[in-house]
Parts: sequence; C-alpha cells; structure tokens
Amino acid sequence: MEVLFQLAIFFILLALGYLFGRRAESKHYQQIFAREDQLRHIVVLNQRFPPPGMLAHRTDMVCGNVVISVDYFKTVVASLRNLVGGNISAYESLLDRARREAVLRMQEQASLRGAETVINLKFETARVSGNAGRAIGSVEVLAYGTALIGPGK
Amino acid sequence: MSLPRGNPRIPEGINARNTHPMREFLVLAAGVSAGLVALVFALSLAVRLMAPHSPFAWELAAAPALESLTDENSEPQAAASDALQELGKALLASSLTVPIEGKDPQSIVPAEDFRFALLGLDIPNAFATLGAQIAVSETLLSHVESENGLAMVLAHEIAHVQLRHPIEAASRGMVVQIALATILGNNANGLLGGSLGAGSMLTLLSFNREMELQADRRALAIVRSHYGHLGGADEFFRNIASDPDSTTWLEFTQTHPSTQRRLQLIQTAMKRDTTTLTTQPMADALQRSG
Repeated sequence: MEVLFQLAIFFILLALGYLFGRRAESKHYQQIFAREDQLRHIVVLNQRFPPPGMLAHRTDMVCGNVVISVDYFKTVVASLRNLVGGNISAYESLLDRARREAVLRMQEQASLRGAETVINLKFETARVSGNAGRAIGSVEVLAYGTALIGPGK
Repeated sequence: MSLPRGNPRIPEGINARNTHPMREFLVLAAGVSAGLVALVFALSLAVRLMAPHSPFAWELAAAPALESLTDENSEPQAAASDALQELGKALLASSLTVPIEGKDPQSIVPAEDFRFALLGLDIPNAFATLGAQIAVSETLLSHVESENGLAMVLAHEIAHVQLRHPIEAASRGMVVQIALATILGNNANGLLGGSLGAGSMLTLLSFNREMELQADRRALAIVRSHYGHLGGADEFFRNIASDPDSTTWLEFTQTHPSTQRRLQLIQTAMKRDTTTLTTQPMADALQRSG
C-alpha cells in the first residue's frame, strides 16, 4: 500500500509539473517570438569596439537578467538522464528561453535610452543554489552590453 | 564592415531541439526501470542460488533472538507454550522423513536448533525467522479447529526454515538494497529514487510468493507423513478466507499468494487422500474459542 501511495504522489507531481511547465514554456516562447520581432531594430553585436560610423555616440551599459526555475517534470527527466547520460533537452529549452529573455530585457533597456545598437554583448549564468540540494534549482542568466546612443537622443 | 540593419531571425530548433518532453521521459523511464528490474532479478536469482549453500551455523550466529511477547510466568501461557513446542518437535521428527532434493533435512538445519514461540499478537499470523525461530500468534489459535489445522501452519514454517527461505529473503533484501542505494543513492531526487526503487521491490514480491507456494507444498508432504492424511490442513485458510476483514488486494502487490489460491492448492492435495480424514483434537492448553 505504502509503495502505491508513493507512486501515486510521484505521478501526480509529475503530471502537474508537466502540464504547468509545458504551458508556461509554450506561452513564454510565443512571447519571446513577438518581442524579438518588436525589438529587431536594436542590433546586438558582440564586437568590442563601436563601428566607425558610431564613434561619436554616447555609451551606456545596459543589462537584462532573468531567474528561471526548473519544473518538477524537467528535474525528473534530468535525473533519469543522469543515470544513462546524453543530452538533457528538457534543460536546453529552459536555458534557451532564459538567455533570450535576458537579451530581450537588455534590448528593452537600450530602447528606452534611445540606443540603436548594443555592442560587446556578454552573458553570465549563475545557479541560485538555495534549493539546489533538492534538485529543484533555479538559474540566473545575465546579459549585458554597451549601448550606443546617437547624438541628440 | 557594414552594420546589419536589424537582428537576424535565427531558425528555431537548433539550440533547443523540438523533441517532445513526454516522449523523452517515457523512453528514459521505461529504459531505466527495465534495467533496474533486470538487475534486481539477476541479483535475486544469484542470491537464491547461493543463500541455501551458506552453512546454517552462520545464520544462527547472525540471528537476533526472538523475544517472547507473552507472559511466560502465567501458568496457562507456559502450558500453551509447552504444548506448541511438543507439536512442533513431533512435526519436525516427521519432516526428517521428507527429503529436500534428495538431501536429509537434518543435514541442512539440525532439528535441535528449532525454537517455537507463542506471541501475544492481535493478528492471526505465523512466521519463521533467521536462526530457525518459528512464532505463532495467540490469535491464530482461534482460527484453527483441530491439531491438524495448527500442524499445517507449523509445518509450513518448518518448511520455510528447511528450505532456507529466511536467510534467502534476508540476503536478497540486503543485496538489492545495497545495489539500489549505489545506483540511486546520489540521485538527489528522493521521490524519483523511491519510485524506481519501489518498482524494483515489486519484482522481489514474486520471489516471495514463490517461496510461500514452495513451503505450502512441502508442508503438505510433512503433514501427510505425520498424520497419514491431510484432514484439517485447510482449516486456517478456510477461516481466513471467510473472515470479512480479509482484504482481497491485487495479488501482485502482496508478499503472499492470495488466500484463495493457497486454499485451492491445499484442497486439491486433500482430494487425493483416500483414507478417512479424522482430525486430532487440539491440546487443551492450545484451545481457544473461535
């Protein structure tokens, strides 16, 4: 009996994690696609120096960060992966979303300041490890760069 | 170098592949569970082949002594305990005439090492544990009508000991637990580890059920050699089966085969008896109102 209760709790948590996690992910992706289209005019580059035509621009640091949590379903898939090895594609989509969201937030900041280009884009990722012991971890992704703001803005 | 006019649209499905997460989960879960079940099965099989060959003296040294749960000082209890010992010893003597795979049972577990105890438990139960210790609960006594009924229960437990089931079950539990702890131990996700472990443990239950049926078969042979017939052998299961409290749960999740199935086995064997099935009355000290 105890075994069955344990299995039932496990599968309920798994189903909830799957349903909510999946819904959140697809909604987030729709949002990302729409916002990327809106901010496409803010060019993001990772070169270190301003292009020749923008040497007179004012520079400003802009950054965007996001903290995103793993859902129960993804941790289960990842734990199973830990046993056999291979791509943890459940985490790949999670981190893809986090990086793109961070860049979008950075672009929004740049857009507010009237910038048209952001150079020297860099990423940093940190694990928020408070609850990492229980495998339900969160990651922070920080994107930062130098916004080039044209004269008169 | 000219500056792009806008950020490019990167095609989807390169960084984050469009694999269906549920499919990945199902494939992984099925694969890992199958692997674990196969491992547990292989380990159990290995234990089953090896455990019966361990000397009984080792088992005796490792066995914790069964504490008596009844009041040994009270006169009726002491008399009941004595009567149980007496019946146990008599059955043991008869069991020595039934060889195990051509071997003398005495050479496997010496008859003088057996201990019988009456336990003051509220459930009708009997069990055999490490070190040839056999316990019968007080409540069981009210579930049998004659000495033959109790003899079948005792013979079943004697059979477990002679077939080396207690050491097999204990070794198997330990080996499997160590193996699972090694594989799943570092798995930070307790519930997943627990569920995979629980799944593998279900595999063990089939081994337990097989042991019960083996013990039943040997018990029937012992009882037949002792009384010359199987009259009354089905008493305990008949009374348990008619008990409204007895649950009929899925057989797969039980350590014991269903009462019905065991009753059927015993009653089929009883039909082969041609002599009249006269049962012996229960010793006075062991009589309990049903």
